[in-house]
Amino acid sequence: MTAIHAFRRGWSAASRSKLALLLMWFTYALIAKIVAVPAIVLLLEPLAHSRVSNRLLSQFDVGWLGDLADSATTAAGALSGAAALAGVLTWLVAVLFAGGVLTMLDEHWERFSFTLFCSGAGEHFWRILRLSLFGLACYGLVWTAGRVPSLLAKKIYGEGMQAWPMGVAGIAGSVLTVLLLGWVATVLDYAKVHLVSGRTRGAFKALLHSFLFVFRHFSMTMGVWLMNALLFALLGVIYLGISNGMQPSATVTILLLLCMQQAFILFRTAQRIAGWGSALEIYVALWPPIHSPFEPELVPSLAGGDLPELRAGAEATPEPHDLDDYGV
Amino acid sequence: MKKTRRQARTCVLLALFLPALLPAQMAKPVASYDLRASLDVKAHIIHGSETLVWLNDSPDTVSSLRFHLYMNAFKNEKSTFMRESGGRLRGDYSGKKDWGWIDVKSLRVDGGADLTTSIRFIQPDDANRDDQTVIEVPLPVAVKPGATLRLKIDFDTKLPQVFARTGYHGTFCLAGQWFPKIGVWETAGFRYSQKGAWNCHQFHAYSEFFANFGNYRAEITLPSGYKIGATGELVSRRDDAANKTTTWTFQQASVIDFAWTAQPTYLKLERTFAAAQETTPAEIAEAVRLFGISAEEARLSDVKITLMLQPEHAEQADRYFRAAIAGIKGFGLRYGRYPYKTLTLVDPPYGGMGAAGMEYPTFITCGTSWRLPKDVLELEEVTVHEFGHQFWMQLVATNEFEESWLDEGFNTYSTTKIVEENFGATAIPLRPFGVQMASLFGVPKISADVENRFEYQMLPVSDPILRNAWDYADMMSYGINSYPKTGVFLLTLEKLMGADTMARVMRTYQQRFRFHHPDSNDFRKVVNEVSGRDFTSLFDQFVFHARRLDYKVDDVESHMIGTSAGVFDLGGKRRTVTVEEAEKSDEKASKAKGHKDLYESTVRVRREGDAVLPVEVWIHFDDGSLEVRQWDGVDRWARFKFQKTAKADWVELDPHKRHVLDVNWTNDSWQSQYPVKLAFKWGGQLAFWAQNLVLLLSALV
Repeated sequence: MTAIHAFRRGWSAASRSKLALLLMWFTYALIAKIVAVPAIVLLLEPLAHSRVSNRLLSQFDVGWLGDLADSATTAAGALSGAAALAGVLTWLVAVLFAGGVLTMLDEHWERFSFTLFCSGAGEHFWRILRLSLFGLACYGLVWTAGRVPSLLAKKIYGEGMQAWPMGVAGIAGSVLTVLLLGWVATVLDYAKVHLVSGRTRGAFKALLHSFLFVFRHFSMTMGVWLMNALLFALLGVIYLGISNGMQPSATVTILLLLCMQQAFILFRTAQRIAGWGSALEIYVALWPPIHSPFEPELVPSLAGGDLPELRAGAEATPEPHDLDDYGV
Repeated sequence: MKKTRRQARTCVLLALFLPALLPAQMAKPVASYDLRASLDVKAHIIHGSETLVWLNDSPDTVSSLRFHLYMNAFKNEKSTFMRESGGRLRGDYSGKKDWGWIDVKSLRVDGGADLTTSIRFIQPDDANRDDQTVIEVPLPVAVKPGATLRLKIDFDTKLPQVFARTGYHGTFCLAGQWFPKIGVWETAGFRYSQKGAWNCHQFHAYSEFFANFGNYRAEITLPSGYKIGATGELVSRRDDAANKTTTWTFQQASVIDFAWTAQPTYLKLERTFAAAQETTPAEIAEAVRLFGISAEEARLSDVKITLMLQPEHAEQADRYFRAAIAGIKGFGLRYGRYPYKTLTLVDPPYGGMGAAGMEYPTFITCGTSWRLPKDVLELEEVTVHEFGHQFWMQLVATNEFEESWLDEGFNTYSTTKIVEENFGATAIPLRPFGVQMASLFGVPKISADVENRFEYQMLPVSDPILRNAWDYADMMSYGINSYPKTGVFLLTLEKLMGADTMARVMRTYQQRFRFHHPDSNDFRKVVNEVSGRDFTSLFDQFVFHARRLDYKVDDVESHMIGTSAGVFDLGGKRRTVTVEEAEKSDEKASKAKGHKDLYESTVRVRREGDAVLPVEVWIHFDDGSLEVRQWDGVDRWARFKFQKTAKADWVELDPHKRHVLDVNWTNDSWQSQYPVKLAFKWGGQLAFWAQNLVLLLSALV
């Protein structure tokens, strides 16, 4: 198993998941509309019958924002409320999708099964939700770590007369933040895979295991992330280059732009599934083998005693291994 | 004996000043200074002395003097400056660790009475007894009209850590407003004065300049190895090997102030603005045509530009020079040649940016940042703007304390033109990972005109443009009124009278009041005189009052005029036309060859704001015809009716967009066609970016 192999297998899984892809694309598009629709109304209402709209059709005009502010200052509050709602919905839906899609990928399904998808989404909802809360703490640490170079530079060179140490530290901080974000997101993906494929329930333990797993197989796991990041950057640059060059005002070019935009969004959505697909491949290949849980044999008591009593609330699937597996 | 000594001193002073300065002297020297300064680079103290020659250029007898002691603004938190600014100004803040102050050690009439003990602090602007930025000194003998008073002052100035305009940071030092500076005696009838009195304001957060012209000479002693830049021309340099110091002498005639900078690690670069090479015959000919002047008057003169540059900005040296050259040329061709031989540009270091963006005669502080992208014109804008103050503040020496718009606003208007002409619009700095990506993300560049109007729209009526700088509602109101709102006001004036006429107005004002101290009314008079129109109402509404200008198209309706139903008296007979008959008649008529339906179109326009300006209304019909109407705007609304064989398909108020002061151009027009394509395009864009954000968030879960 190599990173390239896993990357390919991930995209192969994504290509098999067209219905899941469409479901994700559609749902996220709906959520985006919670913000976009009021924003569009807010932006276009003053322009409904204004001749300024003719000018704006060909090229965005920063000057118009001042006029807009004069027309629609009160709507800004409502828009921020919509943004907050969309944020919360995105979070919950992303948790559901992670459970549903990973379950289907894990089951090696051939055809999209809505039942299986829903079952996976429901079964893993709470544990992935807990995991995402732990993830928030990790992102907080990433944000703090990303500021460290700047803070250090400020401490060491802040009283100096040259800006370049602060400039370099700022760039280093940005790069570090992005890399750490990628690392944490990757770890969270492996933790999700572990929760779903490993049939475990401990979100925190899964997170710790995944940190160690990604650390041990750094080049493999982060290699896949890097390839996806580069692919995203490449397609992003291509999209921006083309869309900037178009400046469409004719119906055909506007439609072309809209299609390009949604194609890019589909790519990004597919990339999410591909990332999970790759993670699952690597997980299956490299994760330490799960010990078979001890199966108690029910032996009829010679003495005629009662069968052992099963306690309510016991783990249906015992934890397959613990941190000892990693030498912790 | 005393008399002989005084005469000798006079001769020395005359010998020093006159030969070098008289040929270049352009203004009547009212307050001339001979300054001596020695910088203690460890304690950041300037040990200084000055000989002030003050001419009582008024018909009044003056019995006391007033001086600015600006540096006491940084003495403690109780100064008016610190109270007004809260220790924060222009994006910088006071560390409150190393304060600044100025002590007058002695003040005496040269060869006469010692006045030191009679010095008292006064607060002419507020009741802040703790403010020590103005002193008053009663004179034992009043100065008669036309008489000259010579004073000798010894002082120590402690530079603060750079926070607002002046001070030190590391080995960098910027000495502005560093010596005791006499106020301006305003006789009755001078500007707004009712009677003779000193105009000597305390040091406020947002303004600092108003002074008489004079001849300046300064000897500045620094440790050897320090590089220096200063107002005026360097006339001598004297090294003292024993004390490891160098004494530099600068002098400049006909200026209102003197500032200098020093730092051992400066890159000191020089370039000459060669007027003959920098201007083309066509440009001179255009100035001759536009202003009706001779070619000799239109021509510019050479200027030696010295750049005191931070080593880490070495790659930006050419940008600095190009900006300075654009300024010297642009301002010179418009308003008359820059009359001085030198211009010094100062590039403050990181940590010393509180000193950036300041103007002193022939000496300006600019500002840039590490690896500033080429399409971000911050460097060019600041450099051209600060150079512009040589015209609006230094040559036309208005009172910035009381009429900041004549200084900052005029300069904003002028800078906008020159920056756009030479460098175009600026990109927004968007530098993830230190790489400028504005064009990749399709972020449009912003022209300075758009920027001005955008800022004006943020606070269009908070205050009248004209106020004392410390009397605005807050810092934002001061900033917007003094800079962009004035820029927008002058642009509106330009659009109303035409660009050529406005150019003549500005040049006439500059030339008429060069080396003088005009006020707002002087400018208004020039506007009316040169344009041949009365713009008093415009000044009243926007300069002297804070009116809001907003016109809108309120309602547009077109309906067909058909055959009317009802009872009609025709030819002495009464005839009833039923609704059905009327409809039939219309139907029949519509089938006739060449028939066109008749429509009545009603257009109602409204004045939403309280400012009144005549406005042009264009009503366009779907047969291509256009009706133009004038509306005086006096009533709250006006209605226009038309009967035509076409419907109104668009209406636009002020179609040439002359009313730049109108706070909302979106509601100035109406069109029957709904912009469906625009809705799709920008709706799609918004949805796309919202989807991207949602996906980004989901990827982090």
